[in-house]
Amino acid sequence: MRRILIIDDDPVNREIFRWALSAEFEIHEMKSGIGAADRISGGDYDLVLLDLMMPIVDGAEVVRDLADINLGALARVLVVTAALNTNVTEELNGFPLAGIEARPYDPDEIKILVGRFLQ
Amino acid sequence: MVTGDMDGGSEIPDSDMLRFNAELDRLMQARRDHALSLADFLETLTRSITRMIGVSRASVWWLEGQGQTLRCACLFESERDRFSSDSELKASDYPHYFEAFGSARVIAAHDAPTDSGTREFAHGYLDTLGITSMLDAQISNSDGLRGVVCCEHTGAPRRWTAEEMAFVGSVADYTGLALELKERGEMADALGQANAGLRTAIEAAEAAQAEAERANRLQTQFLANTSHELRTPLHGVLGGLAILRAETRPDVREHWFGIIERSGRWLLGSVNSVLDMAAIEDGVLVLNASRFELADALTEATAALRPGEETGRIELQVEPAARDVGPLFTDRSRLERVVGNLLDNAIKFAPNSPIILRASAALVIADGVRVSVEDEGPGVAEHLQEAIFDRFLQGDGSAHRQHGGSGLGLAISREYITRMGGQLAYAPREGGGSIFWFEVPLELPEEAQCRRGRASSGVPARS
Repeated sequence: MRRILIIDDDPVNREIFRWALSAEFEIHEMKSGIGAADRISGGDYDLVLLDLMMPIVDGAEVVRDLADINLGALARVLVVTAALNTNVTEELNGFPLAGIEARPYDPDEIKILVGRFLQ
Repeated sequence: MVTGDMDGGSEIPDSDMLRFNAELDRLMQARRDHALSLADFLETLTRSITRMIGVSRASVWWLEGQGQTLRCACLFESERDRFSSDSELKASDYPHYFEAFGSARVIAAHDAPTDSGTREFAHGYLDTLGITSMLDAQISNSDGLRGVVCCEHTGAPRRWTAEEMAFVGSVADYTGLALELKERGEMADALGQANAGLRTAIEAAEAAQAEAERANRLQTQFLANTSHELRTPLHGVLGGLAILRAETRPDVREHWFGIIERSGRWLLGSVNSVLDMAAIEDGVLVLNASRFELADALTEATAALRPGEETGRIELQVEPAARDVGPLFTDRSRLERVVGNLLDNAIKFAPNSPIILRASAALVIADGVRVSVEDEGPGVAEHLQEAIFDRFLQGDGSAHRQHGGSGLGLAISREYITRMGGQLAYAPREGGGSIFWFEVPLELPEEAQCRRGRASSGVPARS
């Protein structure tokens, strides 16, 4: 079973994603960006869904940290955020990420989005 | 050195030539070395002329008024050892003199009362002062004719030597040069000042632009935070509804009904905060007092937190002193919102830490209660301890990320508590962590129920 890591501080968001994806994927969750870069780097996930606006260590910081320790792992990181902020997306465009997407809330759309990145 | 109206017959004594040349060198040197002002230079050279060629009066005149006036810039009278200035000659009164000094580098009037160039001065001037001979030289520079150096001799008439004429001519040339240097200096100063003014204007414009950009950035950040704050629970509602459409398991459906309801209530609270902030800006926020037990409100606030939060680590402690004061009469829903915001922040920013929600007697205000939310998280960096209460957080947003919670949460909470007549503040917790505390009076102040905030006129309070 393919593994997906969801990093999001909002428990409801995580729950919606889990509900949508748990039938097809092995779901792992983190509720903040603390330690996320290390975990992504060593976790062998097929896809990482990374929220941007999180307290203490936000998504952009996770991306920067991961770029330092394991640049190649960024290819499996899909940034999903409720509010696409141009300042942040411009900065993140410089990294070889899987993508930057507006976060869907509808379970069907979540499945479509994830399917798009996992074929 | 100077060509002029030299009456060439007389022998030129070598010693005078050497003496004059040495004096000219000295004058130039003095101007350069001591950075003499033009006025000082004129005094130096008029005095020098009287000494060098033995005349009683030497003066420098500037040509003004389109060449129609000569104004005395400096007159030295050797007998009185005195400087003066400001007398004036008009071309209309002395046409021959103006013509004479304008057409020849040097006017050597051996016999001034009869000389064609100077006889206009004979009566009332030359005779009064006893002047018999005059030696005048044009002052000119790259701007053309600028004035005249005038030497007046008293006593027996004298015949000016070519050497004396050359000396005075040279002094006049030096004077023209000094005038030009002064004017160039003034122009350079004026340019420098204009430059400095321009630089100041550019700096002011840049500062204004930077300020506008900063305000814009803060506004953008605020909108991003607020938008995030509204979207998150809204997604809970909409996502939950989509799940309900597909979900058939009764217990899971029940669970999602609960999430939707709490997301909706949290969303309503966020919307109310945004609207209240706007009402505060317009000066029309009105609080609504009701009578209630503090402990009930705290329990309610804990139950109404964002869905999915780990409320299990919140411990409610109501000290007897907080019960003894009896029920409060203040704005219950906004007090609960404040408590909710503080708890929400603690949950977010102190992950895995126990959280104590404590009610006690007021320490700072009279007749009130104190509520504090304490956690063992990282605390708030000292330089951010005030900034976190600012709706538009300073800096690059890291403050928000580190401690800002909702962006609006702490700012609106402080507004609410202030309007309830109380105080809300942060204190570091001993042994690490944060304490956010507030105190409110038992009764809502009368004026808060029709409070107008900062817009002090014109807008009627809604009731």
